[in-house]
Amino acid sequence: MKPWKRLVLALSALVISGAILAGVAYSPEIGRSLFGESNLVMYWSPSELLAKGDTAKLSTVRLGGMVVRGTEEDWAKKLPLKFFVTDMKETIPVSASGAPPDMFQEGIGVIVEGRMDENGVFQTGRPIVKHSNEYRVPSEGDSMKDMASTLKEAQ
Amino acid sequence: MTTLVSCTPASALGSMILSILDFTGPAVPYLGRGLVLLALFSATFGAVIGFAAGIRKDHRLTRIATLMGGLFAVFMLAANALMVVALLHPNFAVSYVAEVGSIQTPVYFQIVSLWASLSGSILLWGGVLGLYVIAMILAIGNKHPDYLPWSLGTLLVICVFFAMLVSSVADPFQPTPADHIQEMCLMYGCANGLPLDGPGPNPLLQNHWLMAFHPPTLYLGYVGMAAPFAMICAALFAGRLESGWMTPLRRMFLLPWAFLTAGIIMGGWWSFAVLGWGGFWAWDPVENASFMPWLTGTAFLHSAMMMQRRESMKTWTLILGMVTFLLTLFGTFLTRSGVFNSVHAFAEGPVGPIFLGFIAVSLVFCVVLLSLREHTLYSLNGLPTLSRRRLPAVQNVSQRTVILGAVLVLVFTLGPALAISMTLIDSLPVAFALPFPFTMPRTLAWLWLPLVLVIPAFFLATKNRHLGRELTIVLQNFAFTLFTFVVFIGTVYPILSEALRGDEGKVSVGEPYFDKFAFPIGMILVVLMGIGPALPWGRASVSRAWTRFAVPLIGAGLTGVLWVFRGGIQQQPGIEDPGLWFGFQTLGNYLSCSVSTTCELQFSGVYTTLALSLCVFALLAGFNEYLLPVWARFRGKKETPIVAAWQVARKGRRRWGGHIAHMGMIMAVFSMAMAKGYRQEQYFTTGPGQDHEFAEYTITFEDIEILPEGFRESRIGKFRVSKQGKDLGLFEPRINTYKTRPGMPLPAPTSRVTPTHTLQLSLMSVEKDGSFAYLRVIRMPYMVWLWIAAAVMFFGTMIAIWPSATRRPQSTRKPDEKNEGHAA
Repeated sequence: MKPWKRLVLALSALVISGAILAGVAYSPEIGRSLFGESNLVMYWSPSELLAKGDTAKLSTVRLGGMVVRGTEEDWAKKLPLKFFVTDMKETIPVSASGAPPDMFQEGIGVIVEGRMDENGVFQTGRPIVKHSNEYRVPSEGDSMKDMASTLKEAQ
Repeated sequence: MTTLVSCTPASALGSMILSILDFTGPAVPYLGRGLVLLALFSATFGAVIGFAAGIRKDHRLTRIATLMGGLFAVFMLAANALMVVALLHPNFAVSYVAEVGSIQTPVYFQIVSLWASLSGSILLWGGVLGLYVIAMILAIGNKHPDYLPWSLGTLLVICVFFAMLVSSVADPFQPTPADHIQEMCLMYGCANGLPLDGPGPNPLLQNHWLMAFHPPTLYLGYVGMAAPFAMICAALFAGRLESGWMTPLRRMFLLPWAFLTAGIIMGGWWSFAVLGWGGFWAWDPVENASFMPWLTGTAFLHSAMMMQRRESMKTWTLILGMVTFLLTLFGTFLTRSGVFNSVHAFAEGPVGPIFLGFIAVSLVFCVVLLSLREHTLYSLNGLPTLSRRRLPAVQNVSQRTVILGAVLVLVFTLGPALAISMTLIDSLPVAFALPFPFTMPRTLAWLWLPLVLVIPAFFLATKNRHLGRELTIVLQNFAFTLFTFVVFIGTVYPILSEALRGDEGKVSVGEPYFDKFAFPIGMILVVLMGIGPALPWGRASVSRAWTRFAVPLIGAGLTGVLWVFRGGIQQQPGIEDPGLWFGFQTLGNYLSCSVSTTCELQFSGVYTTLALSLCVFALLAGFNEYLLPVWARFRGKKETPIVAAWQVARKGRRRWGGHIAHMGMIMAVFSMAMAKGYRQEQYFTTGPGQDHEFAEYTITFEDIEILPEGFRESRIGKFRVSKQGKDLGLFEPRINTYKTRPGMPLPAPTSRVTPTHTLQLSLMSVEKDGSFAYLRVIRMPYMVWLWIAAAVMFFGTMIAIWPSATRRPQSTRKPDEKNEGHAA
């Protein structure tokens, strides 16, 4: 093979494989079948999760939102930990089997990975507190409204 | 500091020198910029001269280019030193110091701050690149005048890029803008127009001593891959590639490879010791970014042996080397551009797109260079050039090997392909999927592995005598390439998906995806690691192969049986008293469950048991390989065993180093399998005086202590741990809150390390009055061996690199064939 022919061939192979990769990433169906339904973890807010209805109960998702405490009894320090995650539109009850990090408190941004159970309670392991890019954690002084806008940005 | 004086361009302005040398003053940014610009100039000049020297074959020009390379190194290292001084002081007139410096940070972590943020780490990139320019010049020496100018030219072009980054978009030496200084003054107070204190580095960097070693080690691995890349390009530019050139190339590749290996494992260690999540590897994109070049690099090291000894797989080897470099660039881009936080964050800074552009240019450059120059490599040494039209990976390997390779490729690629179609059609019967681990019931997955191994055995049985080390290397390369591909897709997919589909496409690829592939591929590699070195080059006789593998096979089988007997496979939830036949009963249940599609029992330890016995196989095969020559000397030359061992090691230092690296790898696989397979974890909510049982330990919460330390405040939980009544003392896991970032408290776990397991206590959260605490306890069997394995692999690689006194004279007289015969 002449060198320049090889070059044309190699470059077109490069372009084609790039295009295939982009195609795979563009189509959710291919992605899902490539990695397997259960291995692709989607990021959803409470309203997005509820919008999916029962189908959401099948797959593992990451739910992001703000922590709201429930009754005093639920908020008591024992495991599983019970709290709510909200995006200011919808609120989902969460039950976490793992201990939360030290900065876990009401009004903080949180990510929980797990799935919805039959009763509509989101079951998760350990809640992860959400940092912004500079690891700036929302402080206690931030009002609820500020929190909501931070969350919106973060998503 | 005398070097600094001689380097300053301002030598004419003698009076200015004093003010410039004042490291506390506002002149430091300009001094730093001057050094970086000088480095940029030397690199540019050197690159042009280097290529000119290559074209005109002019040795005087080569010497100038070498000098320029050296100067680049000196200036870059000086700039790094200057930044460290500025950080130590801390001089907030420098923008980077204003970003990460703080007076409260201990000296140790002030130095570490050099790589705490983007522009500082790019500066470090430049400095390390300088070191490797010098290392490459030394490694090549005077012996390869044809290659040297091209290598220098290519490497210095890469240097130009990084010097440009440091002097423009990622400039750490900017004078801090006045309004920023004002802001800081408001926050921290001011003296002489400069703030008294700064924000300090990210607390995560300050929480553990490993942060001082892990990033620079990884950098030494990442950056160093530029040198062998330049040497590969030199071969293509020069249009020749002899075995003689492979010696410095191999050495320059092994050096960063050793650092990369150590750096990756150190990263796991850091993550285990600091993050306190009880794991060491999460297939996090940042981890994958460092793992991919390691995979292709390891493949390169092995196929380079084929290239050097059999004159085959040339193109393929060069491709692997080039891809390794591209992947290190890609890894730096992924970790440093912020693309993982969000695709949008990446677009904000200019560094990301510029880096991406450089990667694209490099990729196209590689393709063009390889396509246009590849044919020149095959016209040397009077070797037949016919074979190059075939698949490059299988040149000079016998016809049957090609067929076998093709079969294996089919198995490898058909698996995923079928997996895709199977997930689309759920109703396909399970039995049909038997050979493929990807969609079947999980418990059946490992059946696939023996099937792949049975194919080579089948070829043995049909009296094919062409099974040599070549075959194992080809297989090893297939496996590593597949592994890289799998990791690459899983890492890039979320980024592409979000970039193309926006918020709708925000996904992450879960660990199970990676694990599913990593286990079978890893096991195949372990087996190959046992078989490969024990087979001779060329034809291996079947009967001899069997005698070599008899002991390892028996050992592996025995280990597996004993392990099951000990209860290595467990039914979940665990049964209290195993009893004598418990292990086999479980195994029986497991097997009967495997063939049934309705069985719902869960088992643990199956994969680990398999991994354990394969590790034993590889270990014994390796030992065997090393002991046989010692035994031969002992019998033949009547040397004492120790002298014989020493002689064997001395004669084949490179081979011996390889063996040690393999042993380290087996140790690492063993440790990972055990720690992952038999890991125990529990959360406790606890109050003062409460007892908790965990595995063989009893943990009692006693008290908490609040310890202010200047730059941070620690809340220390005191836990008394005893093992079967024996007191093991007080464990003191902490939660550290750094003054510079009060919003981000970090746990600092405490571990008890024994050879058989590591016990880790991690305080998740605690009330200030000590009335309540969340504790996480983790027990990881054989964890410490993974960290030891890093040292072993590093040590082995260094032995292989070290120039041997006995080999030198031989290799100058007879370039390679004879010498290779010795080693093999």
